[in-house]
Amino acid sequence: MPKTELVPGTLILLVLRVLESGPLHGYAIAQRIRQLSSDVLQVEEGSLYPALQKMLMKGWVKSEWELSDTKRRVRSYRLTAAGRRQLQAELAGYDHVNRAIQSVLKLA
Amino acid sequence: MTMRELARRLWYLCNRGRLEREMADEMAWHREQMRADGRGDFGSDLRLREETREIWGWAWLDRLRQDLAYGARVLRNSPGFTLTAMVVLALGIGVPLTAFRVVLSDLRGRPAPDPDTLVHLTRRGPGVHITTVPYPQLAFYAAGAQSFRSVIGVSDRNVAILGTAPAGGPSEQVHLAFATVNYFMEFGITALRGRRLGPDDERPDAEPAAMVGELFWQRRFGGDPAVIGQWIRVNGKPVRLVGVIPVSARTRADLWMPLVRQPYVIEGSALLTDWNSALDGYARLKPGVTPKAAEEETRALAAKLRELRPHDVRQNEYLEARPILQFDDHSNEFRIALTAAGLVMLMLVAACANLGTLVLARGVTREREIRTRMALGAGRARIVRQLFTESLLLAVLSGLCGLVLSSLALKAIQLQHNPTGSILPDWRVVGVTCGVALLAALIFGLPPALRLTSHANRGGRARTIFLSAQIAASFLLLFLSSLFVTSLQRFGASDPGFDYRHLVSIAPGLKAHGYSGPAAQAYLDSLRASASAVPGVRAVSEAWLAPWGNIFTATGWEGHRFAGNHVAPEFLDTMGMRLLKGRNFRPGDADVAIVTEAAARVLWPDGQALGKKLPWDAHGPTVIGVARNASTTAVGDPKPLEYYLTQSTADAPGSVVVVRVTGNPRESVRLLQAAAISLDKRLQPVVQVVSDAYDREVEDASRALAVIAGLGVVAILLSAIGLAGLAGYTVAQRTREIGLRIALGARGGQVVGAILAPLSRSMSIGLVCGAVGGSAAAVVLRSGIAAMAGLRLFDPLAYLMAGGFFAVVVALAVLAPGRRAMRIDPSRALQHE
Repeated sequence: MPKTELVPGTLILLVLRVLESGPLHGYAIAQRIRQLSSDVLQVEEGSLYPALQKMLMKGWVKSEWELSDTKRRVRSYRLTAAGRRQLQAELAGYDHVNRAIQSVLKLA
Repeated sequence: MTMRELARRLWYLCNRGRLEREMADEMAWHREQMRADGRGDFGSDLRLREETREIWGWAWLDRLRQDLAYGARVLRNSPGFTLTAMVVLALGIGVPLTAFRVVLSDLRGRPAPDPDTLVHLTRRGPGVHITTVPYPQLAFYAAGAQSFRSVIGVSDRNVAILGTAPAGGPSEQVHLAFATVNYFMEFGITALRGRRLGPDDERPDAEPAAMVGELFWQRRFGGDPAVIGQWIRVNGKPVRLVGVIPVSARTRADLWMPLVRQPYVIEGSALLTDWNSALDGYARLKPGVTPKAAEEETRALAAKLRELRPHDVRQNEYLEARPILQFDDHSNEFRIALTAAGLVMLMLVAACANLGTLVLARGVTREREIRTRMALGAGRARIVRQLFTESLLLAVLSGLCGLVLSSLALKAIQLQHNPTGSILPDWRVVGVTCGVALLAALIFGLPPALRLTSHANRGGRARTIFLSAQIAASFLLLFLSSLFVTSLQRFGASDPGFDYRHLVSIAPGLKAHGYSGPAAQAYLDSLRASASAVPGVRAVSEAWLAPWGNIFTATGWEGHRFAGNHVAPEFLDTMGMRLLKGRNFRPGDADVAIVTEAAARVLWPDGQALGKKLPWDAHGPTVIGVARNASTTAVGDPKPLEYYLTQSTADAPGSVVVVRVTGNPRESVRLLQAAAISLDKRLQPVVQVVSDAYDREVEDASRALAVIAGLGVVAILLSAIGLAGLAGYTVAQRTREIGLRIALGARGGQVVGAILAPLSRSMSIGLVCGAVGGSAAAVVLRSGIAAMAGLRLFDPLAYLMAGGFFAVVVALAVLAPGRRAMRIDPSRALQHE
């Protein structure tokens, strides 16, 4: 299966959704998206970290430093209340667009 | 952006260092994980970090810092250019800034509140233009006009003797102003100390109160707050000081009193009842009333008043109501102010154009650097921004130097006038400096930056414009100052037509003290007798207006203005004027006139003046004599249009006595003053040496000349620097070509010609524009400076002087680069590069 680029604008939605089930660090976020999409969706590091910074800036996630199994300091990201609200909003928006696209595909 | 997000951004800005390290840590870990999982590489984390920083929103700050650091390095590495540019621009900014601050300090004081409804009143009508209004008229309009909320009268040209009571202290002559007390309220003038004059001070039973002007308070009373509440004596009358009036353009007098106290202080004054008194009139319009509507109302009122006082109100007269801030844009003062502002701004234009030329010329040698950077992927916008930042840095640094320079200049000016003033720049001055620096950077920095980064064929248009503008500006100033020099020389050599070096005028001020015609005539007769007895006095005469006394009446006829005076038969002899034709006045003459030669030539070109009537008055006086040209009203008019009529008793209260002495007139002043006072102790006679007016005029003209010549010299210096720089770059850039020319046998002159050729077009454009602009400015200045009245626009001497000086400067400027060009060794030059 070839790598598939993410639809623009959905990265933040995916990251928010992945973080809903618990805090993760940057690499794990990318891994999780890849695994859950059965290797279809590849998250570029070049877009992941700017996206995370943007979410931090907006206050949707919080970051904290913790120690990994190999005793390394790693930064993990946790969803905030504002992040949950944003996730709901984005999901609703995505759903709306998705249904619209589906109906075009069916009826055209 | 929400407040919290902004706060977060600011927090990021403050903790950037730590956050960057954390980001690097995080990415390093990511990279290790990837390698452990055997997945590809991470890519450049340097670029990634940069992209992440963009998210924080402070990338522009980084770029600005980079640009500033780079700009500073470039400027540091070429100290010659930087120093030249800073000198040029500091002068270019400093000169207009100084002018701006001088004007600002003149306009000191709070502006009047609501200036749109505050109007200045002047009497207008067909053939009527009187800038003052008599008090009874003001009172009439104040009572009758519905358009005005309040009517204000000011009389600020009085002199009085001040002595402090009771012990005395030295008495001295002071300037005393009277105003209706609503003046202070409507113009927003508040007391600096003590209290402001108010309606209670106008009540007849109130104690006489005065405010003291701030500058006078500091000079005379040492700024002592304790003098407020004290009694002083004005013309011997006790007056209580109640407050200090802050210095401003509207409060120049030493003492201010309510207008109704004028007769109390100036004994015998009929100001409040005299239909010929002269007050400055202002009014506050009622809300919603336009100045036009107010004028229409006064037209109707004036017609009513004319039925009551037919001799004191003219046909179809009305009061013109002009908002105080509205300039009379036809007035001479306005045009002169505009011209002066233009001349001063020219310095900025010259400096910017000059710097533009230098930056452009320098850009040619930086071309390789810029092309390299563009080849390495820098966008055009990025390079323009970087070059502009460099210019801006230069402009701001120079602006600061200009600010220091203007503060020093201001200090020098103030030491002469008002040593207590502060020269510290306030926020307005700093703001203007920054604005001007930005403007300068836009003018001299942006076009070269755009030109250097464009791929289009480099035409020389920007260079032509810059160079022409710079030469035009400097040649204009140079030409103007040389016009000044020649006209001032001619002024010094001109003959006013009377013996002005030995004249003294005595203005006893009889009218202010309520003298009637016969009483005044009696006083003048006695004064003439006692003045004749003063040692050294050779002749004495009465006249209505003193020579060069700053007051004159004029009659307009066919576009010419004829100045008139009423004089006694002894006038011509006392003044030292000569009669060319006809006869002098005799005692008892009436309805006769003497005109100057110039006036006779304008009125009767056929030369037959004697026996004719003055054309503007068919029943008026007959010409009995023609006098040699004498300019007794304006100083330095080479073709004085004047006429003299006989004096009558009715003129006596306003008349003066003119005295001719042998030797220095200054030595007679005190004796004549004593003679005038001894006849009536209440008077404050003003005794003036007539030549003072002449000296003042020459001094004014010389000062104007010094300023313009100073500007001209600075501008020409700027031009020389610019030309030298440009020629130098041209030589450096065209070394190969010049070497080839020399190898082919070109001589020195031809080599220099080749350097100058591309500059010649800009130079000729600049010279023509400069000469035309200079002439236009001279026309305007001529109308305002008496010593310039004889100025000839097509003065070959002036052109020659300016042109010659300019040629020398150009020659000196290209001397060094020219020599370098001529010494170019052809064989080496051809291997160059």
